[in-house]
Amino acid sequence: MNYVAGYVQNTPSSPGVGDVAKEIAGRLDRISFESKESCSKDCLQREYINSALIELYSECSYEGWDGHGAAALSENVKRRASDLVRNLPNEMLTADIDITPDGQVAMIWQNKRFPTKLLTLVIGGDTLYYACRIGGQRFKNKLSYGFVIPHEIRTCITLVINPGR
Amino acid sequence: MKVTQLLPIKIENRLETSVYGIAGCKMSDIRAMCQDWIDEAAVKSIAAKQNPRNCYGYAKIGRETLNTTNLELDIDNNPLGHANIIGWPLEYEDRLEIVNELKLLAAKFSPRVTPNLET
Repeated sequence: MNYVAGYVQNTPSSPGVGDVAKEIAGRLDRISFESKESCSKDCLQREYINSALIELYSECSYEGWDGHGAAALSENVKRRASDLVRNLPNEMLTADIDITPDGQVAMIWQNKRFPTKLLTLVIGGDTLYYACRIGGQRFKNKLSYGFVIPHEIRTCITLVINPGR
Repeated sequence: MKVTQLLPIKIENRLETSVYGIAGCKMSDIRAMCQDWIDEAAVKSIAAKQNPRNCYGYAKIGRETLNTTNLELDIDNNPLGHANIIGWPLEYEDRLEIVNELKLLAAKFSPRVTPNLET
């Protein structure tokens, strides 16, 4: 017996669906071919994630935003997620971003070449939760988040995005 | 597939992820399920009505896959075919570890399918 889960994107429009994010995604695509673009790809990637976060907030700051009981994304959680994105180095800005059904922000890194290198980080205000898989190795933890991204989060991101096996 | 789609929500003090059984279903049946889900959301929530969803795909998870994660299936058939994945651990990071595994295992079972539903 097979079951389908999350067969509908019960989150709002995925990052990239909104007009602003679409525009930025288009510019990112063009940069892949036009290396002489004035703004760097890293700069646009940060803009892309931030605009996606703003769009997600506008769509998910209500209780039951999905029509199926999801919790609202609070201003505090959104602000803390913005802080974290601002503090990430450019080379780590390769995450997908989404809202969890309990109203927290999730950032997901997955290595395109080696999909079993995967990190899911959830920003719940002043607390971070993560689970990371690097091939057969698994790491997970709950950390408090002040103003500095914890070292072990940076290490996990580095391990996931590293192009090597 | 996004891992956030698999994370459970607390309903009446129980963590559950809503799923549907699709054994024997045709693609058209699955599309109809997706549309029903979207329509139901629009009825229940003004926010969902104002920001209508599209269905971009679904993840197929074998029951045996659930068993490897120590999760259980509670089939309520409300509506027909509906079930909840239950048995989620209390610690959030443990849940994340499980959804990471499900994401990887589900991908093996099912390539991404795009019914391209419009609301």
